[in-house]
Amino acid sequence: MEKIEITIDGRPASGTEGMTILDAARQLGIEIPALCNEQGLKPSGNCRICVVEVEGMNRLVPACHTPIEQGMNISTRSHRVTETRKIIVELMLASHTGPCMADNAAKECSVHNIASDIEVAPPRFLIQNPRSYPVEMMSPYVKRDLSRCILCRNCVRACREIVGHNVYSMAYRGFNSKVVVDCDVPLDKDVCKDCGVCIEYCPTSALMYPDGTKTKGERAVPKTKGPWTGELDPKQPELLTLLIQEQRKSGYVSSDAMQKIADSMDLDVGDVYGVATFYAFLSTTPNGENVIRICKSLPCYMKHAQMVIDSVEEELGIKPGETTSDGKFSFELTNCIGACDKAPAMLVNEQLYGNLTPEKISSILKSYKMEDLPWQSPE
Amino acid sequence: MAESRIILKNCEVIDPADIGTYIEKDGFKALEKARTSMSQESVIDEVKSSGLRGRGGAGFPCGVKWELAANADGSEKYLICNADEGEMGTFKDRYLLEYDPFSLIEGIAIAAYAIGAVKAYIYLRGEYRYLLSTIRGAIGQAVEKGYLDGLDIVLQEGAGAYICGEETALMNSLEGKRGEARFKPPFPPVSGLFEKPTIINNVETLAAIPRIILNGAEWFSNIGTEKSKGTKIFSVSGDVSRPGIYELPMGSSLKQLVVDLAGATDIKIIQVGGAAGRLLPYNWLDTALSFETVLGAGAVTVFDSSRDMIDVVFKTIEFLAEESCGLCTPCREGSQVLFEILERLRNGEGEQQDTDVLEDVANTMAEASLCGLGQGTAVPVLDSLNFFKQDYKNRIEQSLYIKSLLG
Ligand SMILES: Cc1cc2nc3c(=O)[nH]c(=O)nc-3n(C[C@H](O)[C@H](O)[C@H](O)COP(=O)(O)O)c2cc1C
Repeated sequence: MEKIEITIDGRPASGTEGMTILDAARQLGIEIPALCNEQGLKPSGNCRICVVEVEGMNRLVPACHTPIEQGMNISTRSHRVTETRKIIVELMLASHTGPCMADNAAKECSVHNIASDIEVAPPRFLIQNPRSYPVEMMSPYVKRDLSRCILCRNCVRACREIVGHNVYSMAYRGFNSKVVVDCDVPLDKDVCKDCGVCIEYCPTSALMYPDGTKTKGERAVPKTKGPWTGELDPKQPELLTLLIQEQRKSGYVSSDAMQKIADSMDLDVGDVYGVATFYAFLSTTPNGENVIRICKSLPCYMKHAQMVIDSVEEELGIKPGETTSDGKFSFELTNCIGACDKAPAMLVNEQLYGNLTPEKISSILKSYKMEDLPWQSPE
Repeated sequence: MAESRIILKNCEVIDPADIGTYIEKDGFKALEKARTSMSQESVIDEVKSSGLRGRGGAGFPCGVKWELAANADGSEKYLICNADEGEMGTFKDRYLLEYDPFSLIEGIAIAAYAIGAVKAYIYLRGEYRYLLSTIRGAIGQAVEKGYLDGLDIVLQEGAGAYICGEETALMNSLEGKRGEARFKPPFPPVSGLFEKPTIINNVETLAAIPRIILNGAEWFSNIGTEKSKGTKIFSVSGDVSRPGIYELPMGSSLKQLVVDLAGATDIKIIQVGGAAGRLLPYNWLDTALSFETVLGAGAVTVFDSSRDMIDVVFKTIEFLAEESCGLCTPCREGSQVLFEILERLRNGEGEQQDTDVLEDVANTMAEASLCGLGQGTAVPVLDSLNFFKQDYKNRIEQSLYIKSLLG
């Protein structure tokens, strides 16, 4: 196999095809901090702490998943790298709570350890609305305190890739992302037994043994069915379409419907829930017969989207996110619907209405109020 | 200055429900030409020498991308038409799909022929569901006429997620998954949808293909600037008297677009390229619109002097933060931090260090985010700090003054 010659922090190194920058650096004894990269797990590239500088590239690249290439000149601790890395950790700390924020329990938390290793100052900003969840202590095997979770997905991946189960799934989107069990219920799974792998792979105190400790000394030896034998990345192209169809048929996607879909596709319901909660047009709670979506993005906002919102509120007597008591209408705010030339605009079900005025809104809503047909679209 | 409608030449001219009216306007001649008198390589060469670059925002040379996929191993290859058009202020693809779905379908058929794909997908954003029947009808008529023999075109609708316009997130979504971006490499032409070589192109890019094949690369490359060939379709919104769609040669100035055509009279800020695009002061009006300067996917929103700059940045970041997929730390946490700081500033509760923090967080997002969304979120923040620093200073001073009065 062809040797790939590279330079890391001024030192020559060589490797083979498929090797990542992180592998190559480790061979030289150069440590690059990383949180979501763990031996035995496929790279995920989500924490971004392992970013390094590669000469000739516009942006920094993560060492954990970037393959080495002939002639690469890599800096793992240039000013640019260390500044960026510090702010990434600062961002993690900004919404991270837990005992590690007070010094005594710090050893338990890798975020805290990395922060002190690379000399991150206390965060200059604290997130006002951090993710905050009740502690889960239903399971006799794992205590979950997700307010401390940094969303590195190690537990999701370790349960699957090391243990061969699939207890956890990613759900929701953006800042509200969360590691869930089934349709977001407290963890209480029989399959867990005293495996403990997720606890060991969790870099924070989000996952603990029920007695509040973090390690059994050595890595727990899982009593498991062994590594995942199925496809790690199952093909499920029909899933989104099935969810959209269910949404259209029933006005929302219930837990029962998700379970049925999961069974029919041989998926775990948590993974179905994860998809359903990612997309803004899918809802896991019932909606009214007609869903009104008012665009609130800049081009509509500047053309008085607020007037549209006020008019709809007045006509229907509900606020965004609510449903009328007769179940006829739900009303939500949405991001750009691509009708900026007709601002302010809204969708009622799939119908587009633009250049709205209070009078127009009133007559549009009347037409839906009169209509006794099912709200279903023609398709 | 007048528009030059090349890509849009059939819009509001033909009947989008009647393929006959499209055929009358030289429709499907380019496809016939490609299939009967050109090899796959020569189609790719033609597109390469036309200089056509992707119209979805990133501007990657189209022919070069096709060549990568054509040369990739494996017989199963896919073509995806990106009709997710979620970028704030953009509605050009909607217009094309509504008024001339046939040009897109012909472009898809030519592209599929060139790269050797037997299956093509159109990923249509859920917000445009009202266009489904038009597109479906157009595909049906093209099938009936035999233009799509040997090619299967699948229509997939999205369900409300801007991030699904990002090519790798779109592929995850097509695979039925959460629309999270994937890290690269591997790049889609090597390993994309279902891990097969995949070409993904914007609606406007594909709609340009029939024109290029029929009229030749040279004709196309005679229009535009050195590095941006052809025309570009712009979506203009905001404080202008004639918001709408305009097609201009690449290199036309912002002034020609927003003043001469769209009728702006009072300009404070111009947002070019949508939420993840540039925020520019009025003295950029003479700037030529091209990949070399500013462009994105051609969304242009004008703000007049009554608009508050910080409010504009706040609403922009609100959009991007809500649309972050949540996979990587810089974008997930960083956009929330930007959002919260800007919200405070907007409410007159600024603090001395706010601009430093905004700058640091934005720079980190630009450097280290996994995909273009997080990277792009930095752009409006850094532009506003660069061009409108005084607005921030004033707001912070006011905030501190009010705070001191309140004790
Ligand atoms: C957050 C984000 C959203 C995007 N949305 C779109 C979109 O709606 N439509 C599109 O064509 N490209 C979009 N892109 C660009 C695509 O990733 C990709 O570059 C494009 O589809 C390639 O086609 P082209 O080469 O023809 O432009 C987006 C990129 C990012 C980072």
